Amino acid sequence: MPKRRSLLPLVIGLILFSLSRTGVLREEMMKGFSLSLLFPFQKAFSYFYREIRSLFEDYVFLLNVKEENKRLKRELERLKMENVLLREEKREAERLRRLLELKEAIKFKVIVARLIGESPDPQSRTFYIDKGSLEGIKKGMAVITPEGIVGKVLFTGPKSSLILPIIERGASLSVMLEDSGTRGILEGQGERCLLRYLPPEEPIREGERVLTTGLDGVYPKGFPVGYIRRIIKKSGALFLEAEVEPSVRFERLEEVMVIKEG
Amino acid sequence: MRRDGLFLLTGWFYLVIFSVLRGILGSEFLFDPLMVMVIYGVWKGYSPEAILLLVLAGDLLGGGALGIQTLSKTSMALILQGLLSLTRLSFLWVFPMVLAFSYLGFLFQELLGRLASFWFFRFPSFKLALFTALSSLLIFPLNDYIFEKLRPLYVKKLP
Repeated sequence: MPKRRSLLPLVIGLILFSLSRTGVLREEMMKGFSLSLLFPFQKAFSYFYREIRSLFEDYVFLLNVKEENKRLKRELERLKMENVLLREEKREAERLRRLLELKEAIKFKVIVARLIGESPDPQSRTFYIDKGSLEGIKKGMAVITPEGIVGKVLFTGPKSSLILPIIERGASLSVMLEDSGTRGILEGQGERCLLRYLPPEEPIREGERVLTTGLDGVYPKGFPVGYIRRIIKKSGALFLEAEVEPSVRFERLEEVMVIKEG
Repeated sequence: MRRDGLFLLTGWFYLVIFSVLRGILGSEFLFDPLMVMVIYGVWKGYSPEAILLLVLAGDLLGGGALGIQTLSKTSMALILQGLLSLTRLSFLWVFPMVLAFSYLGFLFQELLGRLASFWFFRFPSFKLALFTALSSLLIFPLNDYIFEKLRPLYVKKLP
């Protein structure tokens, strides 16, 4: 029965999809379990990747640029190497200092976590951090950086969590404009965000900062989200829309903070 | 059984590597390793159960609604299987085959996502399908090499 056998995955897929949509299936438990399976491999690969990248960025490339200076003495090479390592440490210290500053400035209990990977689905922008339920992280907690709002916790495993960034489709949060105080709903669009339900009579300008309102019960009030890149006026529409550029540079994200208690 | 297990393990390994290295590819050069492995699996005649388990792993590790990847990728696998039962395709067909099935798969995934989460519909990026097809030109021979080297693990020696 080869044909019936080939149909089996499709039938299982259909059942799985239907069950997860109707809420019968405990998606959270299954995803949590898969996160715990993935964690040790991801952590190990992530560690090796960081080490290799650091070596390439700071040493190999530097050597390539200065290939013509081969006559330099060994002592100079050693000092260069030292310098390179110190520079990497300085960069890391700078990032951590900014996180610490923010941690001290805000009145929340936070957990600092490191990114260990992204979703293997190229159409998804979710990513993994190296802290999970054992550290007290729970589904729905807000994730921030000194630059602004990153997103929220989607699923947790014991030692890692999956984060839904604000740019991911399906992500939404309540926001307001810094100058006018106009409120709207920010929705993820994949790479950028779309600010919706803006009253057309409100004075909105491009470049204006977008902050959280705190009304959604997830994100703290007054945190930067991004700035208005373009105002979209659709003829016949009741509300204005605006394209928002997030203040967090998601492609360069390395450490984040999860707000544990507000 | 062992052959399927090895296929599953290799596919899972690719997913983990891709998950960690995705950052360096940037949004411009992304590809879908799961789709490549599904097409490879069908092309080389791996069991539907092994393909299903691999897709399920991808589904569980991704951030989307559970079942979307399973449904979209297994349906592509089924269509491809039907096509391959009619005619045997050579390696020359890998690129157009992966390109077409990737794009169809992404389109179906998009429709399912729209159905599940009420997203706005948007046509999937052609570039994503293109890079998936390009990556298959590397992954297919690499898989062939790996499975050839590991053949003694799952093929019994004749007395």
